[in-house]
Amino acid sequence: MIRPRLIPVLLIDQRKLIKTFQFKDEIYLGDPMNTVRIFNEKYADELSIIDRSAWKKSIDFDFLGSLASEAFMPLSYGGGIKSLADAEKLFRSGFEKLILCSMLFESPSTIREIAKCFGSQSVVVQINVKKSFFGSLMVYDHRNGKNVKALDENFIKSILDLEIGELILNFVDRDGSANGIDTKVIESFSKICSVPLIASGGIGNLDQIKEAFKAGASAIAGSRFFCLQGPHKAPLIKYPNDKEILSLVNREVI
Amino acid sequence: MKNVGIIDLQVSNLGSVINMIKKCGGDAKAITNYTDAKSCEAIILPGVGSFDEAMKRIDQMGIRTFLADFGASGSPLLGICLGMQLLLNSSEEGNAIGLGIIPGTAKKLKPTDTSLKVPHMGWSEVSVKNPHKGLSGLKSGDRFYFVHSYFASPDNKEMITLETNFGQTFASAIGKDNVLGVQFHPEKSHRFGLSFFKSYLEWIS
Repeated sequence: MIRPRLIPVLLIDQRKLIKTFQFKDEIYLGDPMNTVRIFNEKYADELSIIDRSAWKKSIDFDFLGSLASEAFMPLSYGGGIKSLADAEKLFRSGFEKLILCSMLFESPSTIREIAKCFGSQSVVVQINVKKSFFGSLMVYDHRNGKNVKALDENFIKSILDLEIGELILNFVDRDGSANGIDTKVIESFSKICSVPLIASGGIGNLDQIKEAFKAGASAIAGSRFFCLQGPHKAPLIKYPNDKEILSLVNREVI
Repeated sequence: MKNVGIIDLQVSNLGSVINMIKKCGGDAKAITNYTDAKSCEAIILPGVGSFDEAMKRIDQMGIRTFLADFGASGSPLLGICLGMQLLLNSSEEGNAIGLGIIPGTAKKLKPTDTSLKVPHMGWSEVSVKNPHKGLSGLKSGDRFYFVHSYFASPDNKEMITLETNFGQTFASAIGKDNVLGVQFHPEKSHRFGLSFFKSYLEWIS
């Protein structure tokens, strides 16, 4: 029985937890340490921590080490990872997987190096996806806010060549919207993706999650679904229970 | 409540183990030297990375004989992940000599299903093979988080307390009297890990 993977993403900035909307507007959610503890109590099977402030500065190892010490589940980390040394330090700090995004633009060969040195299974690449003015899928560079190239089969294949473990397609337009994921895109890319594909951006309810799995996603990642409730976006942490999780793929609770 | 020490081989963050034990009402501290190790009534040996590197650090800390004697004396010793494999004589992963507390060797995972990739990384279920008092908080069907490429193969198969399947059936926990080893990471397995530590701490006190 394959248990569906639901991954809450905690976006932090200067040690504060925030939630963005289409990568533009944002609200303050609270203390990341406390949030990790709440996810412990909700029995979240895994968490992703993304530190936005690490992009321009450096990785906040002290804080991340403390955060990892609070977590009773496996963790992934993304934000400002630049080298093999960064990777090693993060693994020693208590993270199981690394999420690489800027490195794809800056130094893709380092991605391959990290995968070779620490194992593919610990390397996740995230592609931020945005639709162009004409409606075609583009790879979005969060560092400068520009669409840089077409998201197509060739691009995916070039990333898979780096021997990574998992791929996240994060839909910028749907970020924080709760409008659901783009099932057609997930369907077509899951067919050509030889590693687990994680659908991210737009998750608002369990039905949408179910659709994502049906479309071929191996896992879903989200923030709003797990951290905000209702149309007024009130901060409240939730994580589906066992019955709800297993119902996503029509499996019965044993 | 026993004075629990967690051997710090400086390869991983012990924070989650310490905090989970605290959450269970226990108290554990990181041990970085022989003197501190001697004062412990119960020892936890975690481990991440390679067999040879871990044994090298144990030798550097000068606690190899101490750990072997501790285990042989009947004092509670718990090996987690690589820590469990260090309890054995050797590993296919390297050339170092293990602690030899539980006769056996660590072998490479070779799942018969080629779609399963090694290392085994993710949540998997355990089933009870030979019940052990230190694992009374667990039952068949409980799941834990695993990250490993090698598994423990004790000479005496009756020492296999829990089994898990990953393209092959392997020992997810082994036990010999008061020495226990678990292949999974209880500190990363939320409620299942808490159940494990609760009953383990009760058993050793």
